[in-house]
Amino acid sequence: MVTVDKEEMASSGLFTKVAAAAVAALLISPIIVISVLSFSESRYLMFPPPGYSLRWYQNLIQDTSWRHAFLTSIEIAIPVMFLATLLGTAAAIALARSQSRAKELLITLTLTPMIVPSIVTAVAAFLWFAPVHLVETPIALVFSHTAIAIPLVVLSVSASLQGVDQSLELCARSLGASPFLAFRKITLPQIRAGILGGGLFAFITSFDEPVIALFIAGTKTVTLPKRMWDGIRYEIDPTVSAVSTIIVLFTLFLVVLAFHFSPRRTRTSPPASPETGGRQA
Amino acid sequence: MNAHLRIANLVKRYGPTAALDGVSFEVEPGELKVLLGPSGSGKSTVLKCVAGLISPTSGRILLRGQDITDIPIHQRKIGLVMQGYSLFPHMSAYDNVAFPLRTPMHRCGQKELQKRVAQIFDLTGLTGLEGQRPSELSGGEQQRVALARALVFSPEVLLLDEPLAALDRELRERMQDEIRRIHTTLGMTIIYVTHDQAEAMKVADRIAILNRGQVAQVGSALELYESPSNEFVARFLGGANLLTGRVISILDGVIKVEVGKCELRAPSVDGLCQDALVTLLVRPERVRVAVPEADSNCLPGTIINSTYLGSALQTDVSLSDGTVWRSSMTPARSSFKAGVTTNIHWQIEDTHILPTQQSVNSLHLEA
Repeated sequence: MVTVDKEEMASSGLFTKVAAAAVAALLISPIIVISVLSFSESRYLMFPPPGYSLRWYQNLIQDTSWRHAFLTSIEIAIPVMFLATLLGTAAAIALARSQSRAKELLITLTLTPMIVPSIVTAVAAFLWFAPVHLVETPIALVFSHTAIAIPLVVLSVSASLQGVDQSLELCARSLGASPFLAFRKITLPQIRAGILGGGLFAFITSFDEPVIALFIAGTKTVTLPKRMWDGIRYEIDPTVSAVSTIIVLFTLFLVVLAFHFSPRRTRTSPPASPETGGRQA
Repeated sequence: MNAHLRIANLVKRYGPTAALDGVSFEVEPGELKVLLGPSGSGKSTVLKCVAGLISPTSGRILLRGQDITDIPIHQRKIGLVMQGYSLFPHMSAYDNVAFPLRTPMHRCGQKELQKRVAQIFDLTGLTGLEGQRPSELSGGEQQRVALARALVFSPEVLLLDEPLAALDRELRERMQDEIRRIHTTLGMTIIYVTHDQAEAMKVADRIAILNRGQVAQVGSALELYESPSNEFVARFLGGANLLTGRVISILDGVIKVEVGKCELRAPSVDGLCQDALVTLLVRPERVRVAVPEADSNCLPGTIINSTYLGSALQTDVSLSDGTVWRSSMTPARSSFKAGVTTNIHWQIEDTHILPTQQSVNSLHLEA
């Protein structure tokens, strides 16, 4: 093809743009609606709101049950983040280096918590923790959330391990580095972005997990999603919309943070050295 | 025992297949030893065993007489340049080269580190590229960084695994000279793995030729080319014209060999007796087409093709039993016509006798 139909190109570009805008609107509009609702002065969830106020945010700050729920969620999400990152990173490295014939099976097993419906995981967790009297404790939630967060860390770290030449560590060892030093100096810096990203995903997973929380939290360990559920279920409380807005902003902040940590993928192309330049010429 | 490095009966099995099947050789102090062989001959496996990247099924590796077979990689003090260089992509050229001196194994003071890195940058011609990342360096520069990094901690032995395979021909030849120069300057004991026989002959003090996990022959380039001890070595190192015949007489250091109906002469070697089967080897450069010489061997044949290559005239001649011999004559003359019947000649002393393991060619040459 020598001549390219410019009109066709332009129209296909336009179609792509319209489709993208439609999908984006579909995804974003509920978030916008809930954000607008959070500034409503009405005590019913109606759209558009009859008037605007900050009363639901005020309510959120004054109501200790909301504050407790938020702190409980943080208290659970932080240990989940560390546990899942540690275990998930170790699993990803082991899987990447495994020579086992059961490797595919091991990968599938590691990722099952992500595939199994969360209601099944929730029931299983309940049946597991009930006999040992751990239901309604943060420990049970930390363990259950860690289980579902590990696959996310494994995926994230595995992806970044793909770009790492495994012979580099052997090379470092031949240069005098012990196995641990070789890992710390050579592999770890190259997969740091994947680990941080996986850790943040683990945090978010735990922070907004409702199903397991419903089964395990009970009345003693109420997380934020559980408190929101209660808010809708029993009161139709517009405070929920204020919480939702805050969660969206909080998650957005974490995503920006994750991007900030990840290395620049599109580095400006290096200046051609005289040798390569000479050869190409 | 004065060998710097001794490989004793090294065996490496992967399931039923043996990658190494009893490899033994020695490397003298300050020697540049090339391991040469086709792919799958086990040359890289030997290197990986010496470096400690893989552990042999059996056999020993001795460094200055001390058994290092079971010593972990990082305690061996052996420099290694892997295929593809394995530079650390997240570090500058300087940090790559300084890496060994920052490990507990080779740690030294900051001043000493700076001095040694600067010295090695100077030696390998890298000065000025300290701050560059590996991705910003050309192939040749990356190769130098890998070399500098393996040399900076003054290893006992330096191992190079196909170090120039990724470079284009011109650069490769320059780096061959460079490696020879560094070798001479430092007096470093080096094992150099390659599959390229021209490269091997150019850089090596001595060459060990490997075939199917075994050492086929060890010697200088001259020894291996002029007196190969078996057919594999003869064929692997340059062109080889071969014929098998029966010894009919041994007299005054000259043996007569009956090949079909022809009689050929060769300098005698020890351990031959009458009626023994022997293989005769003649290098193409020694074979002359249609140039009769006094007191030489002579065989009739038909010219198949003749190619003028500038530096040589390469002619393939079919003998009466169908065997094709190649002649590479210098200085080159105008080429021969295909299909012409002619005679090929070569000096008696240019005929080498290989111990015969199996029949190479038929015995039915017609006079």
